[in-house]
Amino acid sequence: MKRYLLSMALGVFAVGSIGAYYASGTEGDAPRYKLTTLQGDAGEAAKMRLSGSYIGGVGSKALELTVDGTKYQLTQSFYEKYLKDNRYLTSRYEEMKALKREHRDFMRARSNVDSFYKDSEWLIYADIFLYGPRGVYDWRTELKMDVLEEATGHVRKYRIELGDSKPTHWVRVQDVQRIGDEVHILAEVRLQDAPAAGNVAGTTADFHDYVVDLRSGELLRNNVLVSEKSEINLSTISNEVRSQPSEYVVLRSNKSRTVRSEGGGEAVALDDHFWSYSYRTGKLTPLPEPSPGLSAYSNIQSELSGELFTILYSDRGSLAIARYNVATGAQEQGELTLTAEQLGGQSIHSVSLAQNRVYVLLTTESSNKTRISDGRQLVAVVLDAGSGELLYKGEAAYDGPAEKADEFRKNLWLTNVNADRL
Amino acid sequence: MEIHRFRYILFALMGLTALVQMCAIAFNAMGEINERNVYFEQTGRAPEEFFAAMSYTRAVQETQFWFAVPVGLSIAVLVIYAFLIWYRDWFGRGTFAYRLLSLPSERRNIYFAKLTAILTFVFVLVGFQLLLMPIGRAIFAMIAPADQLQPSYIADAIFANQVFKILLPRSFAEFFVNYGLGIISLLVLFASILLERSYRWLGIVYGLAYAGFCALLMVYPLLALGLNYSTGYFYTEEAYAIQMAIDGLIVVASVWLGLYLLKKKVSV
Repeated sequence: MKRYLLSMALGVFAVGSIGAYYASGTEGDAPRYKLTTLQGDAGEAAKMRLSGSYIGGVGSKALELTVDGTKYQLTQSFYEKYLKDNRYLTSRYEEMKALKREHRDFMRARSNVDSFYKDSEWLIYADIFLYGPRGVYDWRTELKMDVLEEATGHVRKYRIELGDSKPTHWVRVQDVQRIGDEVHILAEVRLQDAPAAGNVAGTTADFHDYVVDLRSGELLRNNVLVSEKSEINLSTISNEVRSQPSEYVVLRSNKSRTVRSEGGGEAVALDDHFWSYSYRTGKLTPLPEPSPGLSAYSNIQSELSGELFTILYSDRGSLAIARYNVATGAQEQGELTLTAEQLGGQSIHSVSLAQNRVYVLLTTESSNKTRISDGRQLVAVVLDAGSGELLYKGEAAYDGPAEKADEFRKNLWLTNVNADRL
Repeated sequence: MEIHRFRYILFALMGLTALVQMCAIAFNAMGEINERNVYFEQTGRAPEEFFAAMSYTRAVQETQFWFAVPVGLSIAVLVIYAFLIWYRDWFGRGTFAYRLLSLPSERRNIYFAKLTAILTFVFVLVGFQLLLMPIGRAIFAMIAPADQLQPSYIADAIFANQVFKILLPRSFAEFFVNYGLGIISLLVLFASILLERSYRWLGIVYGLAYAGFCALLMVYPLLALGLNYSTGYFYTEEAYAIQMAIDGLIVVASVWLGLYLLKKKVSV
């Protein structure tokens, strides 16, 4: 019996010790923070995520702050840590999660969020694959389009050889839309130029609109919209809700150049150009150039929502918003500029444009200061992207005893603001 | 019975772990105080101006090698004992295996006694390590001047050590996975040992083949189901379920094989 007593005692000790450790919480020194509403409706900040770190104790701990409170990235399970993020498409985007629930088999092995189109009748996924080369002149690109008819659940798979044998760096589908029985697949193609004597080969960036017949899968047209032979960046801004029908897409080309600033130093300026492209008419319309003051901003974000295209410019001191109607190509209203002071801070840390809202993370400390002041406050605001109206203003605060609030506030560093993706 | 036989080795491992780790903490604290005193003597300034407050978490981080040595030794002893727990019955003094297998009770009791013994040793040592952490903190606090001491959380001190990140992860789900893999490996090892005991020289080949096959099965989903890239055919939860099913199958097969061999094939 004495022998069994030892076994039982050891068993109880092991279970008790390990159980107590995990039951008591393993986050350690990880204080809770909250967003205290200073102004407006907290519901407007429901999709806002502020990320940063708690820097107390030894080392720092990454955290995310929302109106619901603090979430540390410490106690992720094995599943969350190593497996879940590999299928980000169906774990990150709400609209893609919904599509997975509705069409589980169709959504398998899909990886490009811009390759989807969905309306009440059709669900389409189109992607372009680059093969080879087996030989120098043997580049092969294939367009794969899977079409699901909602009424019958029938899936058709089309495979189209694009027959372009030019040396290609990469191809990426940027948008898929349906106009009647025609499916438009907008792709950026980066081609390698033939090297000039003694020179390194350059590249050409093209935007192609591949038009495919929905019923037969036949390639009807291949329209080259833009072709630039220089170190220029091309991108598209498709409808924010990727799988919703949209007749328009915005194309952007930008090139950075070094300019001399007033103080004699060098700064990087962006030469940005935007075009609105109509899938129905095939017309490419340049959008009006922004006023000269806006091109000085270092950070640009943009969003297309229906026929309304919004550009958000920002730097440490202020942000500006310009809006365009992509159907008419005209600017909607005058450009709106808001300074950090007007938003209730001294310096803008981060901005995010999403779903017709501008999310801003500010600090009450001037960006010119070299040391972080103990008295700084971290403020988050939500603005209407159209009017600039302040819908919500909140402050990051320690969620605990008041006497500790100041000490813990100093140890919170928030660096980014993001909004949940649709 | 098995626990009783191993008790002295277990207590020796616990004692060694406590001695090495607590000495490491004490020497670290004394070393830091000494450094502060030298600074004060040489500059005449208060050490707080130059040094950060003394922290148990940082002390564990700085002495992680000495924390890892007894832990590594314990793991090595337990791995060796997973073999010895079977072989010493055959190769130890007298004919203990003969007596053991001749007992009128079910032979499966022998199997489960050995299995639970090893698992008890593992979790007792893990539990003991958890118990040592607050004791270490108390020793550190006794040595460090109160006005230069920064409060530390046990969980943070544990996580300051690279070895404990695997042995004592912050998430219980990860703890479950890590030790689950360990238990599966132990079951496969038991089955392989019993294959060797049943078929002797040929059994070594069978045992190695069985262990290799199980290892292949376990890594198969990771390699073949495209878990590491975004265009894999299976959704993550499906691949995870397949992995769980395979692991479950290996557990059932290994236990069944072990019990079958012990009952029908093993001879003295």
